[in-house]
Amino acid sequence: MTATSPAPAFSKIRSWLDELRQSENQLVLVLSLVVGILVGLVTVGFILVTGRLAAHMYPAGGSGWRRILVPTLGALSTGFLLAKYFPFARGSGIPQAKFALVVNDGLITFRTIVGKLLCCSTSLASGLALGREGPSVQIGAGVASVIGRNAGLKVEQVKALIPVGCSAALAAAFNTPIAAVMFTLEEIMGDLHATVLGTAVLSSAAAWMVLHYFLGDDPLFHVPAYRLVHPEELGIYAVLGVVGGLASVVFVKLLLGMRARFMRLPKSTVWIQPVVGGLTVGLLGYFYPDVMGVGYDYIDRVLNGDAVLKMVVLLGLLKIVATATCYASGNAGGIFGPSLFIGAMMGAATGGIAHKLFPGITAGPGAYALVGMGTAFAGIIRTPFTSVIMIFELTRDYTIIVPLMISNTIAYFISQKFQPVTIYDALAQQDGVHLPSAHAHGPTGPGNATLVMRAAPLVLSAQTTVQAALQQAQDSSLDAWPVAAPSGLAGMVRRKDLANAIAREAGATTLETLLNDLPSRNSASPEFIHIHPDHSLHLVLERMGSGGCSVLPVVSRASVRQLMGIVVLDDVLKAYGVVGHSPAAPATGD
Amino acid sequence: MPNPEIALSRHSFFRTLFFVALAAASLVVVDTVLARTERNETSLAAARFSREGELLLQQHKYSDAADSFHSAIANARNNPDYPLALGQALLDAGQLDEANSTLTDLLQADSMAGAPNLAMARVFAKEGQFEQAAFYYHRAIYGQWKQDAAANQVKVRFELAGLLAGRNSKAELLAELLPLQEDASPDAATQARLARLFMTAGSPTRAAAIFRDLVHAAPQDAEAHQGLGDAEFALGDFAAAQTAFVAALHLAPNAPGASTARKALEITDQVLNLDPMRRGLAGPERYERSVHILQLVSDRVTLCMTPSHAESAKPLLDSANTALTRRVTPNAQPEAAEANLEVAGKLWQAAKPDCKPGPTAGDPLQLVLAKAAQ
Repeated sequence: MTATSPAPAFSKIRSWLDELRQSENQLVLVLSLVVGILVGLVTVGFILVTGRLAAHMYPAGGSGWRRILVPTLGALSTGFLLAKYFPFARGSGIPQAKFALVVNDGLITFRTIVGKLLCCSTSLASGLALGREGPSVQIGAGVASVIGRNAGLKVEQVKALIPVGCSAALAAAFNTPIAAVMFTLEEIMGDLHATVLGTAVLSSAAAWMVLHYFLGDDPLFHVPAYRLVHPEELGIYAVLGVVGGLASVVFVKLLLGMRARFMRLPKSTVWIQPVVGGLTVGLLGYFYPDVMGVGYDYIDRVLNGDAVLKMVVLLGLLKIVATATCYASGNAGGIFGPSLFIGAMMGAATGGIAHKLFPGITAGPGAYALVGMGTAFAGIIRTPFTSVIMIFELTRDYTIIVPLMISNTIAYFISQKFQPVTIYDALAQQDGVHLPSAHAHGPTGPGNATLVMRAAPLVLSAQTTVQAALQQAQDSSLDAWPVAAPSGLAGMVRRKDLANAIAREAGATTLETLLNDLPSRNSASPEFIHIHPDHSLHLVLERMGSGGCSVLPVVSRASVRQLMGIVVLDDVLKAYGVVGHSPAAPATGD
Repeated sequence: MPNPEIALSRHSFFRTLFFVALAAASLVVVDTVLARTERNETSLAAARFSREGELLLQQHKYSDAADSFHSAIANARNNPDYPLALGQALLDAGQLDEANSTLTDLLQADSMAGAPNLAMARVFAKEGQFEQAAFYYHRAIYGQWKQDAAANQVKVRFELAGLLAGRNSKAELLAELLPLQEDASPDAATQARLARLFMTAGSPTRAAAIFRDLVHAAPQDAEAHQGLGDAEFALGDFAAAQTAFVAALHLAPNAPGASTARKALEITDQVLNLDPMRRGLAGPERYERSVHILQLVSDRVTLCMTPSHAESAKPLLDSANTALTRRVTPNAQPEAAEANLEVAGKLWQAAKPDCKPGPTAGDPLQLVLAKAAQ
């Protein structure tokens, strides 16, 4: 047997690949391109499969009962699959992608990708009032994660590929390559100056080209050329901002409230809970079919002026209920698309009324529906910059941008005022995961919490009585101590709290009861003040000040019950170069 | 210089690369098949909705038809036939703003497409914006048509001509008819239509020429005879008009236009019986007719003239009375006939402010006086 030498071309390719895998910059660029193309292909497949499935589930001339039966069965089957095989494929996918990026070392399993594709295709095709964009983001991030990990990249490199996958997925799912990059930076990374900008752009462009190759150059919505009819019309767009902002708050609070209730149900019912969403959307869809699905066709009609006032108001409200129920009950699907639907209906309603009252100075309801889409997006998703770019890309209409910016800003601030935590962060928090907000990326001071974090010298048991706890802590120079329960960290108890309990003759009370009775703990905010290792020292000081304590627990982002250490005021002040501590601060140190 | 710290496991790297390539190739195949299936299914669905829309249009259910065309568009956005059909359905449904918006989008994609321009012209015509309508009619005429461009251009120009005729815009109408004369089909119906439009445009000479050709080509064509009669009548050749009307009534006495022809013939007969300049009349008869005309004019003027004008017209009325009462020898009759007609003409002109003239086409006296004045 004679060995044949490889052809010169093959040998050249192999040596180039060898060089590539050893050069970090080149490798990242090439992998971004590869991820972009592959995510584009997967997303196109996802869109097409969902579309074909839907066409077969709802054939032309089908019976009205089908609209009740199909979403119910769809939710039942995907509910079982999600509970039994793909627990991480539930919901939108954006908090999950952020979780993978921030907490989970960029890990999204192949199984989760398959589960997300399977369950979302089925649930979206069956008519659940959810969107495909959020799931696409998780799928994109998952593809990037799988490629990165299997190619033997380091954890940091895999994490750098996650936003690349997200950006590619959104570009292909929404046909908005620029907004996809903006969203990745604004929401996933929480930093518009993130270093992944270049690779995110590359993957987004690649995925977008794949989309265009297979599905053609057609915008998601076809919008007539709208313009500002009169400068006074800006006032009405401001009103739309208020309406959109309030509608966003109602939607987010309803969704989170319902989800909290579903989460309190017994774990054994998790597999059947999605049926509530399916049945609700089915019953609503029996009478108003346009509530079902993501509703892009109906949005398109409304954008073109085909809007009856009573109907758009009704559909907007029903969509809020349908989407909130579908999502809260644990179905797989996102809220991107439904946000646009809700916004378009609110916009058309506002515009319809304005046009009736002031026909001479206002555009038709279609123009307001267009601005309303961006307004609701800014209010619900809370990415105002992305929403402006996205509406521009979706409609390819530049003339309405100024009213859109005004309306978006108002909706954004109203939403922020009444719902301080963004929806994705709030969803993650309900799952016990604390994702970093933009606040965490504020002024960093000399470093982050890991710089001054130390192991907790004393951890009290939640079943210990106040009297016993005070005795255990007698020798400690700290002012507060972590309290551990069987489920993990239960909170922090201060020396002052113990002393007050003794003064009230409640020395026999357990620490668990004491913590639950503290005025700072209530049903609206069941969690204790804490920090995460990546929080800046600036934020640490801020939280110590607001909580009135000189010791804070450092907990994992994956679970607030997982204690990683503590941070003491003195150590923080030392990190800032301040020797000792202020006279007002309580005595600390070990 | 390769960095050993970031050097990856060669095996896992190449294995991943292989699987990625394999996955990409498989996805390309799957996506291609799915995309093709989707295109086929959606275009079939679009065609079905379009057919539904056409049926509904035939049943005059315009709003339902528009809904069907909406659905067709949602299924096949790249097919311009569906937005065009939608635009026309909305036009028929009277939803002019929506029709305008739909057609504007279509025209943005192809501003010189003939059919959308025609539909847009109809929208503006229905809105009463005739200048805009004419603009789009012209774009349709000079635009591109998928098939049978020449015939469509003629059809559109005829439609525009009809609109202009309805508005009595004679100069613009004539400007459209001249190229039509070159391009229009030589069939009798088209030529007759063209000739009638020439009549409306105030060009009876061209109309008469066309009708003459039609009569020559088809002597049994009653409609052509009647058209010729109308044209000759407008030209003032009442004898020729009489001949043509008689022929038309002879060929088709019960035709839908026969009553019009009969009325026109009646007027023509009256004009011919009144006309003193008719060829072949003997001197005395010519004189008698001039006296009769002068008598008719004098009677009418006396009836309708107001006292203020009557004073200024008194010399003319006196002249008329003198002419009507004097005896004229046969030799002086030709001159007297001319003098009578001159006095009648002047008297008629003087009485114009007070005596509103009747419709020219139906008043033999007025027609004769007009002819005499030429």
